Amino acid sequence: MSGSVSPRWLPVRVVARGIAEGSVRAAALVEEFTDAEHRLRHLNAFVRHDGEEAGAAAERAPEGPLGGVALAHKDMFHRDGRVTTCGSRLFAGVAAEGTATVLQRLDAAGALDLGTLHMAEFAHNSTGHNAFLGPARNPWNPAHITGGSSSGPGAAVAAGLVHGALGSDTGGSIRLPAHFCGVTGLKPTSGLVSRAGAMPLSFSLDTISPMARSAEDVAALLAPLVGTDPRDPTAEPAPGAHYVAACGAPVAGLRVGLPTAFYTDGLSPDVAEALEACARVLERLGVEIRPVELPDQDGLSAAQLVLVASEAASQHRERLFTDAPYDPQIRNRLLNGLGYSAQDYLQALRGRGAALAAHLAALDGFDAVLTPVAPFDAPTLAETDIGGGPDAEALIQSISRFMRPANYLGVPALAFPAGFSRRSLPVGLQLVGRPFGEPTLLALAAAYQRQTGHHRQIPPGV
Amino acid sequence: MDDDREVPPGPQAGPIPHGRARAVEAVVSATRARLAAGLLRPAFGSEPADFLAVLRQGEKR
Repeated sequence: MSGSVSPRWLPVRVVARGIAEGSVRAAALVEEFTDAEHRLRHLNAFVRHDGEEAGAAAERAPEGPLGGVALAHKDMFHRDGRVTTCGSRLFAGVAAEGTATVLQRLDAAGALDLGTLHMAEFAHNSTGHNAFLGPARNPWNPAHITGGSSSGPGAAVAAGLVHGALGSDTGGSIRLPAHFCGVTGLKPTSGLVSRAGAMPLSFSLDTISPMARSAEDVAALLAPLVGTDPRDPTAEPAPGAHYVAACGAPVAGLRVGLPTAFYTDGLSPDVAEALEACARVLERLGVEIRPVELPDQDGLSAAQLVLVASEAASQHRERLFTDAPYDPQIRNRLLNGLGYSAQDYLQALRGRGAALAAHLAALDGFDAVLTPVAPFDAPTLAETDIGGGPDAEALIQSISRFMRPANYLGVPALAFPAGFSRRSLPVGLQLVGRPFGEPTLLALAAAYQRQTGHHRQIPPGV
Repeated sequence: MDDDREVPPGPQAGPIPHGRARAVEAVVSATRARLAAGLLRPAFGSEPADFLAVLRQGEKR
């Protein structure tokens, strides 16, 4: 865990300022990232690396709040003329027509695009296993999973192969890799970021947002993404939200709840200790920490499962009974969705407003809730290989148990590094907020990160 | 969005493959039971459109 002066590891806004002032050369930076990708190819973070194209773009002196910042994104955001695999052999040779709104907005902000990143096939698993691409590997220990489905963004940010990356979160797919790889990742409020031009998994639940090393970096990358979009009628306005400024806002007097049930189940000592230590740091910052009793989270988790299973199956229905080359495990997961009736689906959908109202009533007076992301640090690739039998299946199911309620409720949740386990793997926590409460979550995490160094640690050998 | 034009259209649906149906039913039954136990009984005011209304009003503590 040694420090480094390479601009690969600099904060997003420091890099942009350095490039604007001439103290950092964007083209040299791209070369550094490209060399690092060659050295660390065994992590399997990238699906395609466009270092040459990004280098040419860097020579044109990119301007804007993200001018020259080097990004790459989960391989599910279309860019006109480029192949978007969605992590699947089905789309291995299909060039996109049109560019996702999120990529257009990052382009306009001056960011460089280094390529596309590994993901679970169709964003439909939580481990980072992928039969087509091979597994993504955790930079802290390549024998361990990255978590998924935004496996490439987690690995690439942790290994210093990019300054930040876009992922998607339908049931924990940004927060799990953030936890397992030791980076910061936001699941935004439903509707905060346009989804036009991105691969759909579950149209009720899908969200898109950045992953980066710190809350401040996430804020800098989020700022240009938010707002309405004529191409996506679900995109909401967010007037008055200043995400970068929020990172410097005072947190004294904010009230954070510690759930008394569900999120306390089966925690490893590493995770329990990180949770306790984080609460103490926040208390020292003047944050009021109190126990909070939330409505039944298991029912919310089940409702999320019904929605994602039904909507994903409907998305893939016409191909599931062809010889389209799905990974058999992904095909099986998609087939599960065909088992739910219209009544099951409507019950889950119809309960969403009432469940959110009940959740907000329980949170009366609270600004956020602090919970674990997963009960344990990153399992090994072998432990989570579906060929490993019923133990593997149970382990995989337990990985995302704490994730699903926030997706069902549509509320924001920010995962951030909070320490290391006894076997030197990262441990993360999540702050779950009120709708459109991203500024509060960023303020809390940024204040915590100014007091701790977990997010600045660098994996050995990268 | 997901571009599926290169994949020939297949049948609209088909039976869940033999040997898979029982596994699907087990997963579905377990989830259905958790759903029934955990969600509030819907009433007027809990239609899908209301979710967005609650979301938009929910920012202030």
